[in-house]
Amino acid sequence: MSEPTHAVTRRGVLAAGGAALLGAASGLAVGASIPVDSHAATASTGAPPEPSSTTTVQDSASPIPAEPFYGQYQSGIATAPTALCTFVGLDLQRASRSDALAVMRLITDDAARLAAGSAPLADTEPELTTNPAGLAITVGIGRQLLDRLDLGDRIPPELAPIPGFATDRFERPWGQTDLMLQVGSNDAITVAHVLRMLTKDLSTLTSVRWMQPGFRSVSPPLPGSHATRNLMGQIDGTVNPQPGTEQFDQVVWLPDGQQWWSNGTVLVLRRIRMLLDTWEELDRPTQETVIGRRIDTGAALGVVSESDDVPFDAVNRAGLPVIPLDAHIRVAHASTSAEMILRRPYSYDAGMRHGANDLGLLFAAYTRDPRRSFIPMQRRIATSDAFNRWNTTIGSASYLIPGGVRDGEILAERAFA
Amino acid sequence: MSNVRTRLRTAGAVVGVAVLASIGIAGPASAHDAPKPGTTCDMSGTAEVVHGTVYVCRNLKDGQQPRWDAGKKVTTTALTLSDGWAKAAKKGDMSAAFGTLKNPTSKPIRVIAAISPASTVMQLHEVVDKDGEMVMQQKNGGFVIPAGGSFTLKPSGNHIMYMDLTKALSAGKTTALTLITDEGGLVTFKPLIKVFSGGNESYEDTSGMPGMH
Repeated sequence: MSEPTHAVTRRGVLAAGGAALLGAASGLAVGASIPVDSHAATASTGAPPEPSSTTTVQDSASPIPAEPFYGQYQSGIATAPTALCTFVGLDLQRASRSDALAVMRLITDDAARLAAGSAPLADTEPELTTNPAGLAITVGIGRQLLDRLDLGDRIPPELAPIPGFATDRFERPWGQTDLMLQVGSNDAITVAHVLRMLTKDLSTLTSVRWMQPGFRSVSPPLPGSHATRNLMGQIDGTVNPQPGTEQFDQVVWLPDGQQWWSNGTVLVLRRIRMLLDTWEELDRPTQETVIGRRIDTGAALGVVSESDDVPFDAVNRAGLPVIPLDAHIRVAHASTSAEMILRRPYSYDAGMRHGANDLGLLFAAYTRDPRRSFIPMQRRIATSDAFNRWNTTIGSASYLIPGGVRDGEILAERAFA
Repeated sequence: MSNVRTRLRTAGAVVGVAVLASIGIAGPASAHDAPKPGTTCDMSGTAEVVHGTVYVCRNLKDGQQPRWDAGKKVTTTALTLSDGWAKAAKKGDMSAAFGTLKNPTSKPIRVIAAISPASTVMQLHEVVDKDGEMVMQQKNGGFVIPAGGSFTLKPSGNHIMYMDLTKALSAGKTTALTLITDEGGLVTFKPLIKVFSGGNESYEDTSGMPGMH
């Protein structure tokens, strides 16, 4: 083994060569040096790690922390999207408020400990919690659960039922559940272990209806972009509000004056299968006309860069709109902050189904009030979006995301009391 | 288990009221005679608080019939429990509580018994290597938490055993657990109940109680 030991960064494994970009994108405090997993290096060469000649390489792995658990808001919404995120739909076995509170107590305890870099209580594999890698655990509550618990008077009007749309083609089991868990991390083992731990902890109280593992690149598709590419190559999330801005707060968090759900939001989670076989039959200009944006640059048709305003009023030499009337970005366009959503999409790949790839998008939108944002947008899309031919919504659910908690408090404690 | 009576009773004693309230058995109760120190008792680990005095049924030597200790006036203790949890279990089953006991004082603290509203008897157990097999047994001398130190209770190690659950320990709830020191110090914790299937070592019955497994 004369070849030099390759320093393998944990996150480098996820995003080959993109470590620097990755650090910026994920917003994690990793200090001046890039953590190096010397064990991984050993495994890759079969030789003991040699002393490094560069000062940035450390002998032992430095864990990448989790997102803080305690705070005004739950993490996993305004925090940087991780490479991996699994959504879990669960139903409460018994319609009991004390069981609902028991669920919240367990999740809160586990999530707080994991965020602090510790293992949950009774974890039989605590070694699998040592690299949280941006771990964020987020909990959502379905409207139907509040109804089942006879707490209908505590349902905020913003948690409106999502109506059916003409384009819906729902398949089992991707429907509404009582509860939702969202587990995101940049480390696949961490995600798997946390899911195992949480589902085991809740196994006497809940039944898991579905698990939807999602993934995305954590390096920006283009320098300076805050968005991500989906499995059609399109840049998704260009018009997102940015965390830390007044607009973000207006778009995402429930309005002030909540009795039960301060600092909450509403998640609309849709499972959208992409029909790649027919989509790929289109030539690229046609694909871009369907969407209204170029695939490579993410720029709207008729402008230069992703961040340029969309020229909705521009017409070509034939007098036709540059952005067609049925282009996806025109149909989905939000004119005001109240109509906007935070897109935090993940891709999914469920293998082959009837000889075709079953892959697509876990459309995760966080919004103050879907009655003013998601629902009218989806109604327009269902009515007139040219893009509908190449994707199918096969699942839909929405959840109230309660506000964050302080040490000693339990998520949604007051609402279930 | 029919030979084990519920031995945790209260007599509305002045000192005991606050403590008993915290373990869920507050309120006026019928007068009850205190155990007679030195007399035999059914099952070691049984503890009673009567008229502000805590009595513990102990067998200080293996194979002997356990006897009531002299009793200690109930007081407090600075002992803390962090990361406390108990294994979810059905009524009638056994269970165990775990966590890290910490002694912030400058003297060792000896825990000799425990009380739970969910079990007739609690015992302090250790797991030892007996001829190559890990077995658990009662730790007759109790748990000694060194001055300024800690003492770990964990599956396959030292733990506090619920010998006979009179009600289920349900996951996600908390359950009161009162520890008793050899100086009569009582302190109540609320460990979180969690699903757990590990730590199934065989049980060495030194309690003189038949039919435990």
